Amino acid sequence: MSAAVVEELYGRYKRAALATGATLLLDEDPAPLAKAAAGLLADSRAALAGADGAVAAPLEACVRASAELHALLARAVADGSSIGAADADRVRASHSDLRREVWKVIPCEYVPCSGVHRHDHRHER
Amino acid sequence: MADYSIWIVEYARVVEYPVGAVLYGRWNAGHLVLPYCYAVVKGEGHLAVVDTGFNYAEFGKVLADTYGVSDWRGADVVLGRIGIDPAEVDTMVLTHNHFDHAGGVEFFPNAHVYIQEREVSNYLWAHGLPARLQWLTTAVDPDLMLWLVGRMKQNKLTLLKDETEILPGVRAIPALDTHTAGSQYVTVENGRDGNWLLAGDNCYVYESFTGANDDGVFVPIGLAFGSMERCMLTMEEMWQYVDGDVTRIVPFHEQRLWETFPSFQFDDTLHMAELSLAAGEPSRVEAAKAEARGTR
Repeated sequence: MSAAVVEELYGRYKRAALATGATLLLDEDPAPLAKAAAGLLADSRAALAGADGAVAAPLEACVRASAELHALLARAVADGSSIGAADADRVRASHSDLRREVWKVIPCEYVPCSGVHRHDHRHER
Repeated sequence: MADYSIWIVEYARVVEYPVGAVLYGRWNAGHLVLPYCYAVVKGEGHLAVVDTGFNYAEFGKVLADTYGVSDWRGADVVLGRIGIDPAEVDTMVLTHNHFDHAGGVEFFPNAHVYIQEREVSNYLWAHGLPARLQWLTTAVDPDLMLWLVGRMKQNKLTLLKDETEILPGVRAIPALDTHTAGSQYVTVENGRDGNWLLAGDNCYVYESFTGANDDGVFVPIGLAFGSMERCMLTMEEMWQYVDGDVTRIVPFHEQRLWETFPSFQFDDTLHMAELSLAAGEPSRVEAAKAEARGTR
């Protein structure tokens, strides 16, 4: 299993997490995102089951972060008013762990191609 | 009329940044020093920051190192130099959700946050896009959105939809579909010395207004997630607001701020500029100079 799987799952996670924040802030219906997060969690678990080497740690982190995200969204579906800052902070913590692990195998994820740094896009991976 | 003091504090810099990333189309124009700054506005019983810098830890550290950012100092240091405790800040305006502007929100635990609703709702739209378009969320991190959820639960968040007066004479002006989907800039109507415009990244340097050849032909910013047309029209709106006096527009990545306004360079090479002083407010620049004379 290659780092491309990590990149694909993390990309999905990132967009889902951004949208989760937006959904809660704008009081949108969380049900579609909860379904997407459930799918992400299932796919992350499946990827982890077949993983080894360097990608195992980021995939484990992806499973944990996806589970936290799904739990937050499931709670929002059940009763959004019950969500507090501590709930969001748990998702933030798991996202932080995920990001740290992902960046060990995928550099340059956030940075537009305009910085002074010498890019390593890992085209060879 | 309102009476505010305004300072610009430099908290980090990139010493070698491509000009083409700052001014659109100037691909082979070499590099410049790109300071990282935010604004402090004090008066009318309030203490506000426009943007927050970033935290040189985890996400912020990785990005800063990747970008070649150096000389970082936290809000406690750069605000401490002008006698301000970040915990005293009661108002925070985020011009947009990029790490160097909104990555330091946790330094200001008591601030009420103002951000454009569009900067938030854009992520709902982005979630529905195929993975091949993920560049559109390249420079943003989910953490701010999740942190804002906590702020909302504490009733310390306002999502702005239109031009809004945040404090007396201080307005947030939406600049949608420009640098980012929900960018904004801030205007300050100061009774003492007229209008100021805190630009965020709606322009990086004065040259966007004065022209690449000092010909007065606007040059758009080097990075826009929205449209260049909207960037240009927003710049025109900004220019009109200051009646063409470009020094009244304050870009947060402009190294010429230090020569345009009274300023001081600290021993760690970072700067602070004093744009305006309210009645009775002591000059931080003069105080810093006096302190330096006493210690050198």
